[in-house]
Amino acid sequence: MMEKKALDKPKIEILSQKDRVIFKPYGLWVARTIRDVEQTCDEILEKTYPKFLIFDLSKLEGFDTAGIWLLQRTIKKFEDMNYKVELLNASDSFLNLSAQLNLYKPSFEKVPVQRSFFEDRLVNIGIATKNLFDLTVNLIVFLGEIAVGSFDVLKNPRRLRMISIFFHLEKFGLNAVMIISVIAGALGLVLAFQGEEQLRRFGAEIYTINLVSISVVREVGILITGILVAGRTGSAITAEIGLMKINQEVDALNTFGLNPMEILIVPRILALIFIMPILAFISDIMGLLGGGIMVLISLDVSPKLYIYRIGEAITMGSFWVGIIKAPFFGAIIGIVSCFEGMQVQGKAESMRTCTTRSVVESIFLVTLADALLSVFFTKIGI
Amino acid sequence: MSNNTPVISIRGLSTHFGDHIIHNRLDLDIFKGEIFGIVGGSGAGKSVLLRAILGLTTIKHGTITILGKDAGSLQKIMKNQLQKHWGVLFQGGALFSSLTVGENIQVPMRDMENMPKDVAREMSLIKLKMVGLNEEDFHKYPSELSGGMVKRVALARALAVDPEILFLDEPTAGLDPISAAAFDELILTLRANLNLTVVMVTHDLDSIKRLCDRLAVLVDKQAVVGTLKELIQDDHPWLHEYFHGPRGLVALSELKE
Ligand SMILES: Nc1ncnc2c1ncn2[C@@H]1O[C@H](COP(=O)(O)OP(=O)(O)O)[C@@H](O)[C@H]1O
Ligand SMILES: [Mg+2]
Repeated sequence: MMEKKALDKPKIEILSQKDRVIFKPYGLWVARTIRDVEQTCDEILEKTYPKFLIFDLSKLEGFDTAGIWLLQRTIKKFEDMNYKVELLNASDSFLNLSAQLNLYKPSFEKVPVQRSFFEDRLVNIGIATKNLFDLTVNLIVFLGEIAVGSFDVLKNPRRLRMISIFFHLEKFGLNAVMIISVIAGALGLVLAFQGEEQLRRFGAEIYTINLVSISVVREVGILITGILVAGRTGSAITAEIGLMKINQEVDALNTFGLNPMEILIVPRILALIFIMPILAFISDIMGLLGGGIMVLISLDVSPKLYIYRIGEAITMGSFWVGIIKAPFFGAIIGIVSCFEGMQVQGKAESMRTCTTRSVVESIFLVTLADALLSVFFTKIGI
Repeated sequence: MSNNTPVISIRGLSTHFGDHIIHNRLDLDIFKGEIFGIVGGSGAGKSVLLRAILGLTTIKHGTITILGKDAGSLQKIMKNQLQKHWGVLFQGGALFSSLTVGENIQVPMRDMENMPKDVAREMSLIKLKMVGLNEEDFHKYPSELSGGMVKRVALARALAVDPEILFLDEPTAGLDPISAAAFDELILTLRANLNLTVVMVTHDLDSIKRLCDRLAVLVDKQAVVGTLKELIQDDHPWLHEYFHGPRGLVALSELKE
């Protein structure tokens, strides 16, 4: 085994005669041994020899294109140093393949140069600026297209894709109920636990109920729904539409004279607008339930009293303040995720950036909208 | 070059997806140095057969031996390091979308064979030119290539480290006739000089006529094997339709009396 290895190992035997040097390559000159081949070649290139060089290939055990290329490269380098080089005992297949390789000799100067690190950064800043600008323009165009698409649908309600809407209602709604319930419930629980700890110091622990119910109904329930839907459903929409772009499905729709806005985008946005209030309502209930469990355990009130106090704490106004935000959030998430999906182009790489952007932007905009609406509702005194 | 030891030997291969049986006790031998064609209707199981040989599909029954070593599952193939002996061109190209053309071709060179960087770069350029692309394409991403170019890059990647066995799934489908003919010639030169064994799935009758030493036709979940001349005489209805249909008549006219 060891002997076999030694035989296979590429090396070059050097035989000096009076006016010439004979190189005899041994072993396997293939991709697998190419490191050794390169080393051997570099070694013989370092010395100086008489004018005539001969490569005797009779002992060459095996070769492939990589091996031949290195041999050719070495010979070329010798020739550039004004040596006369001759090949001896080359097999037919060596010569054939060698000739074939000569046809494909690459010219390295034709490979486009890549930019240096610093240039690259500079160009990237430029690209980012341009992208931001393009994105803004695209977003405005997109909003316009949605408006036109929605208007077309409104003018001719039969064009409304009811089946598609119901399909998406189920996908976005039913399947999200579980995760939203669990998280809203847990948040209610934590809120009650922390609130009760603080309020007990003033002997006002009974107001935990007010704290929990008002914060859940006005803020936490809807906000957590918005964030979860943005992460869960928004990313799914972007990926789905992005894949359709890559597969040229969107182009195919256009060739049938169908408007992708009408078929892909409007149903999704409408479904999100319809489903968000329902999800927000469920989230409220689950938040109150979670808070209730905590309150019942630590405050020793009866369920009946808990419900009664909730009724006193939250007005109808507070309830609607929470729910009324839901369709806005649905629209934001729908528009952002569909928009980012349509921005996907060709590469799988762009799918990644667009999905990330979709989630980040939706969550950011949902939170921003929540803050603005909260301030607004407080100012007008609801 | 001993012509009687099979490079790939398949015995009693059965594969299925759920209730859908794709191959039923299929036998096949592929010999060293030959160009072996696999033909059959769409959905006949050509790609699945290739995947089974490559260990990408679990097989239900049967054995697959490659270069005298046990194959048939990815574990066995890994253990016997069979991957080093083959190159694969997938039907859709399967280029790594996050790597450039040059990097794609260098994956087997650098990561499998540990070639030095400069040699890998030179070799990848040579392979790129070999398949008819040029230096300008070196830094392009797969998404910037046309369908035919993707095929060529995928072929360059399959040829990257001069495999002993080359698997091609519909290599000329989607190429223009001139490129397809050039592709045929390329395969012939490589086979003649590198001692390559080629296993190709193809529908292209011109390619089959020019290249294939023997063929396997997948019909009725089995493989009918023979040379093109023999198979033309076969009177199985599908074979008859395939070789004597309008397209077969044109492409193979001079082979028939
Ligand atoms: N992953 C899979 N799951 C289920 N069925 C499959 C799968 N891959 C292939 N098939 C089925 O196996 C059959 C053979 O497929 P394939 O080998 O790709 O056909 P072809 O001969 O056209 O290459 C087809 O009927 C296909 O539906
Ligand atoms: Mg196939």
